[in-house]
Amino acid sequence: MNTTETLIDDLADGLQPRKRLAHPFVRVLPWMFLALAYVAGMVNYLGIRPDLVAKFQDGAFLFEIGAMAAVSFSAVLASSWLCVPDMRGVKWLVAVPLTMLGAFLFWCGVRAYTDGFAMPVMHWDHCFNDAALMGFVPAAVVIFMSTKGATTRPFLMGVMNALSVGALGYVGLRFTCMMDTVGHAGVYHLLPFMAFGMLLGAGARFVFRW
Amino acid sequence: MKPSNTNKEASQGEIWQNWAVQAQGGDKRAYTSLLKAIAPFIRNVIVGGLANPDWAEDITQEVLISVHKSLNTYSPDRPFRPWLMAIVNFRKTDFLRKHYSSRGDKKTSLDNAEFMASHVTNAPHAGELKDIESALAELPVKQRKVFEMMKIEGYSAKEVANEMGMSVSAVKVSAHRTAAKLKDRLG
Repeated sequence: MNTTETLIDDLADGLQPRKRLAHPFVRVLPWMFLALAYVAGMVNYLGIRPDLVAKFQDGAFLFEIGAMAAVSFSAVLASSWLCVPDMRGVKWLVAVPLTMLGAFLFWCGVRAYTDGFAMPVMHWDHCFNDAALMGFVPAAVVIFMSTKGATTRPFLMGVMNALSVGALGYVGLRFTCMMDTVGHAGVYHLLPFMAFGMLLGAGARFVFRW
Repeated sequence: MKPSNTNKEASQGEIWQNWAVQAQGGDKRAYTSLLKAIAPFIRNVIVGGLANPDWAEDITQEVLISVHKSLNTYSPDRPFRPWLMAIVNFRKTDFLRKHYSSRGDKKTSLDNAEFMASHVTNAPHAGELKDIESALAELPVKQRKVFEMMKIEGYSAKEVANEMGMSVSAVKVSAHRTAAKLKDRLG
């Protein structure tokens, strides 16, 4: 008997009934509720910007937070589908958050051209701390959720995890921080999440191994 | 009428699908049938693209272990073969990446005095024991203990499982993976 046959016998011998992984859409609901509640709590804790009601009349503001919320939810959906080796045949799903992110960045480019980039002087800003606070729990939960699956695309999983957390954190920060310039929002609100994404991407093979 | 290849593949896929569903319910006989049926399929799929045909067996075993670990992610409303192929491609790429990235570690110059002094005192066998010891030392503590208890000290999988607080299946898989890792490390 060769080693493959021995292995098959060993594997079959140790087989226990398996609880099937729930449908990706069902698996993602707890994250959505938890992350939304957590970010809402953090916004309340850090202090809602005083001009928020007025900002809801601003089309650009609404578009930006709407686009990033859509990026976040589509990215977490893609993460959930990535937990299945063949993604249940919907590999195109990863293109949704990336396309919306592309649209958001294009819009930022247009706004930087018309309003000016207003690059801030680099210093340790409170927005970095706020971003870490906003992202910590959603990041921990989405990574935990992703490790319960069996992804065959660990790097892509890392990117989708980081996008879901980063985009939601960005939305939260826009509700607390009054600095709306492309420079500030692009650097101080997104940089911490980009750093998180790079770290997760670099360690993706280790984090999502199975 | 003789069935066409497409029909044959479709019915084979359906049989595997049924076995996979039964295996998820804990049916060991269906699971054995499934693994025995897919093992040659996996070997045939991967062997063509490998520089060394001997690797096909190692990759096949890795895929079988991965199928075992991810069986809960298979959904009966989806065909079985795309699910399996995703795992096959992933493990094949993973194997080749690991293999080629570790090749540099296996090279040394004959002018390397330190290596010659510490490993080659009595060619051609000297240094082998040291290599095995250092390869074992690089393993995670739990994995090394399982391997040493089973393969060196001669305990049964059940005894090791009791000692380590693991399932018998997990012990066997761990020992198998360690052996493969050592084989890869020592060449």
